[in-house]
Amino acid sequence: MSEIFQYDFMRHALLAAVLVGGICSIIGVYVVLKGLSFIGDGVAHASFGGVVLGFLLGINPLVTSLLFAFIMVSLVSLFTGRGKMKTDPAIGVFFSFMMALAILFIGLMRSYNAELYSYLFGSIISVTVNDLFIMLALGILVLGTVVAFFKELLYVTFDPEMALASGIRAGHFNFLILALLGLTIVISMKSVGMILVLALIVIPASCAHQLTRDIKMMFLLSPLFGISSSVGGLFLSYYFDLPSGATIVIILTLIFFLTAAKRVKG
Amino acid sequence: MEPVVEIKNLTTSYNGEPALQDITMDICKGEFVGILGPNGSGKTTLLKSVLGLLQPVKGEIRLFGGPVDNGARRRMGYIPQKGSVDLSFPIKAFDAVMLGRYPMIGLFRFPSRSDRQAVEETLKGVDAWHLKDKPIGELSGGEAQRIWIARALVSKPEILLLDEPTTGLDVKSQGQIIDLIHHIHKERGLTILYVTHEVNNVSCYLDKVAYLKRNLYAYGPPNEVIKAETLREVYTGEVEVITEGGRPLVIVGDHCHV
Repeated sequence: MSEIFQYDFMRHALLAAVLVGGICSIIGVYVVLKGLSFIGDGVAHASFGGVVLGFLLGINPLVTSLLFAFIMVSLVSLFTGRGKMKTDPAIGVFFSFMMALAILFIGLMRSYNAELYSYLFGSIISVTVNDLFIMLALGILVLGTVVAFFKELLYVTFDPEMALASGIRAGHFNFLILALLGLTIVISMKSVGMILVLALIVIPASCAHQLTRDIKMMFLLSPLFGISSSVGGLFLSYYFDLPSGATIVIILTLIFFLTAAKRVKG
Repeated sequence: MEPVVEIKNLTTSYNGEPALQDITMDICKGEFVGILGPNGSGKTTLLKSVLGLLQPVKGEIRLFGGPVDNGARRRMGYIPQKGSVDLSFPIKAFDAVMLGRYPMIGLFRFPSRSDRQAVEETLKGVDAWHLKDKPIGELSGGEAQRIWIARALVSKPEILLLDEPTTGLDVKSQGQIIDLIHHIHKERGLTILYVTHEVNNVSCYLDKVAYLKRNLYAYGPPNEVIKAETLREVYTGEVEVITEGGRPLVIVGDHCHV
């Protein structure tokens, strides 16, 4: 077991698994309860477009992917505000547009870029110390926000209209949730990949939702599933030479089936 | 008596459709007002306008003599129509009632012992303390309604707005909820705006009745307002009103010809 920690890259990967698994599964509680999976997927695809543009222009892909995530959320809000359009088709429209941009930018690059594929499929073993610090900062931000605004975020997630009617600025807090979701996706993408990042957000919280009818328990169980399957998936992928992102998601899905079999009623 | 809700020439639209037109009515402190009218007549729109969830196109609403702002909202309790929340949401009855305290607790603070006491007292007051640990998804319709009433009451509001609180309940639960609301009105002297379809169950408790169908057709004490002519105009159907024990009873449809 200990030989695996001889390598720097494995130690970094392990820390990344704990951080990304924890952060994604905490923000995932809101995603599952508010039904934000599709917008999450849209943001992931948009961010990937940003990453490609970053490589194309020689800019730090973190900056361009954040920008694209922000554009995606803004476009959807712009077209769905005040009952103008349903959220689902609005996401569908811009999701495809953002993916088209990503493919267009890849076409413009004219040369093969291997690093780009780690953003697509994830490469947890190529995480750098610098990446780890960014993840840690994000983790503190997400956890701090969830604790500081626990009441407001709970009310807005459960019953946004009542929250508004009782004088809570529901719009601000809805945006805060989307902003944290966007940040989480952008920062997790390099280690788990654009295609699988949503799984790490949605599945642990869905497992927790099967087992409890108390949101505080969900906030404990979800990271438990998220972190254990990330770390477990990393070990398995190391010993059996498997792609880490896919291994993590398959473990998560197995846990989901188990929890669904035990699900609470209500 | 001083009006706590003043509605002047209120015109609103909902998703681009006109919903209320030129409504003018005052509701005085401590009054129990029934808001009636057919489906789509703007009853819910009126409540949402009072809460400031919908902005008027024309006219204005004044609450406690001032504008509809967050300060005024915190002096009101709202019980929305059934089906507005996700019952699979992981929250227990006690915590659901605590939500009603949140605006008073303020940012970056957690519920204190006095907040928990307020929730306990309120739950006991609506005879629902035994439900405190149940997830909301496991409550019956009548039990859930008690929890939403408790959530509205826990912030000690001066105005209570209820949107069809008895819809979808069995007859026994309907009676219990109406008795509870009547009890709350008597005991706390709250001003109540009560949207309903079923006037006969509550008419004896109501101080005033408003008949809405985009316009305000009639507004006044039940004995003066619940008249066959008014109701035929509002509901465009066969309606008869008989008086029994000094209170009006509305009979709808073919039953009139018995």
